[in-house]
Amino acid sequence: MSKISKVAVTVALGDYYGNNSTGYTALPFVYKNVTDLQSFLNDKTWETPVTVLDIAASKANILAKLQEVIANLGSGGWLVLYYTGHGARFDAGTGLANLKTYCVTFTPDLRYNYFPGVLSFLTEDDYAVIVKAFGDSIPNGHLITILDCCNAYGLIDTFAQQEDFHTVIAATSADSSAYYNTNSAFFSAFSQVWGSTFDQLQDAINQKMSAIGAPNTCIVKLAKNFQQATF
Amino acid sequence: MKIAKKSPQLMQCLYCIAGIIITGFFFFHNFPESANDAQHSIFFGIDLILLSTFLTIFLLFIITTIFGFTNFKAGFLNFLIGDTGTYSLSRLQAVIWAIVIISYQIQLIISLCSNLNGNYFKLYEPIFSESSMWLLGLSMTSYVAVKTITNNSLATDPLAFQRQKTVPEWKDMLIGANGLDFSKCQMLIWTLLAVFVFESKCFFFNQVIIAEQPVQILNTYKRMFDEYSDKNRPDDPSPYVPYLPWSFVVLMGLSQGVYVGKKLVPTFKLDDLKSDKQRQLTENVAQLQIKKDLLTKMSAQPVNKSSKVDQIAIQTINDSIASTQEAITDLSKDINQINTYLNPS
Repeated sequence: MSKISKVAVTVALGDYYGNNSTGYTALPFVYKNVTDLQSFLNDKTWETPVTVLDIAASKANILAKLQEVIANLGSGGWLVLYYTGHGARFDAGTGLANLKTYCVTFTPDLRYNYFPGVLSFLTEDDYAVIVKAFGDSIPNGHLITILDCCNAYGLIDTFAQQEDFHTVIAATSADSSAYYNTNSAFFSAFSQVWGSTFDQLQDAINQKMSAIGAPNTCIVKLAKNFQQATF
Repeated sequence: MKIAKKSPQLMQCLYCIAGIIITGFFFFHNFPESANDAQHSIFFGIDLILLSTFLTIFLLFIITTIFGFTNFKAGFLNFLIGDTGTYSLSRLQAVIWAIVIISYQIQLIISLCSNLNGNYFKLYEPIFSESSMWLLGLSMTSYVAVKTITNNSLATDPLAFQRQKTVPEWKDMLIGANGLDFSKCQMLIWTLLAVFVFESKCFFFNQVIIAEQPVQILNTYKRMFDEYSDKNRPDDPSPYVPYLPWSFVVLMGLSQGVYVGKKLVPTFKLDDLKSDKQRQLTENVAQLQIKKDLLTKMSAQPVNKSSKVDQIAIQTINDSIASTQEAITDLSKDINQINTYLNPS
């Protein structure tokens, strides 16, 4: 079986929160965003495996899917990890340095408990493991993580490694909320400029976010080896 | 690497400093040379009010910066954002009255310090009319009452909690559960009118403070308006300590009462319920199509038969489509039932 060269893992949590009384609102736009992103990437010859969504999008399942995809990715392969859902920060009460950012992935406990424990979710520590696994497995590869959630950049800002191959497109800074109405402000902006080179993306997205009345919170961390590249 | 961004707080602070510089320039440029000038320079009087207002807002900026609250989504305007995540009329009122009354004190200090006969800061006393305190109290009470009602309603329906996610819009101040809210509109008009009247009283009060001798200034301090007392002398044209007539305070109280009371009364209109259900139906039909498209896309991919994640994901989207279809059926039934009530024949 031949190895694939460009693949996008999409994770979407929309309805899931709607079934809970935990303060996390439903995000009905995530399905359309995933479909739109997949169509865009398919046109650019990317492979887009089955979307990991709602109750399938547990931390274990996301990590398993990524492992599966990385195992099938050839040398120099590109991997997009797109997450759309809620993001949050956990304060253990031990000072700012110990704040943990996490994606509010599926956990059955959230149905009954507002704070089921940060280890139930995909945290910045889990994300660091994903980045390391990619770097170890795919020489000369390119990992592009797109985080469409609150506190998005918090998932990456505590570690500054693997800069050669690691691009992050975060909807928000570590301490800001993501704006949405009928769609997330970030995705509305991103989908208008996703043909740009990576080094132009941050300014282009923020400009479009300002145009729709949202604060320009997008941060793009560029991989050193792929600054002029596009999707 | 983070790139520095112009935060709303910074931009608003720069506008405020620009306001202070411009009004400060005109303050010195148009400063009256005599008591007669002070009484006839309308532009100078307005400029003094604007300068003190900008200084008050700048003070609030300094306080928020000192205490570290510099990362709000709407900068200084965050003071106006209520518990539902958007601009709140009760907060606007409380903030407006606080700014107006604090800036009136700053006007008093500036006027005393720059009195034409010398620096009379030693005469400064924080004097307020009773009516201005009542107005501030009313707006603060309304703010607290609205906050309590909002939090109670969110406690019973946590899913209504939008937790700083919506983009705040100015129009939200005048919109209630059923569209444009007349009680809010009229209260906003009364508030603006009251601010205008109060500032006009400040305007004439400042003229005395900036031009007169200490004896007249101290006499003016004692001139508290009381429309129900015989001690008022209609023949004396000198101004009172800035006030609003009691009838106006009562009007504002009634207006606030209606506004807060309306929030306690549940709104229920069958037509509104129907239009809400129809909106939900339209959204669900659109969602159903999007989810079906997503399923088609997922099915078109080479599904890894051994992947447990793929199997769960496809099962999830199928379940989600089924529940959306169920919701559409329920909503259609509800709408038909409402139609039966609305058109019994």
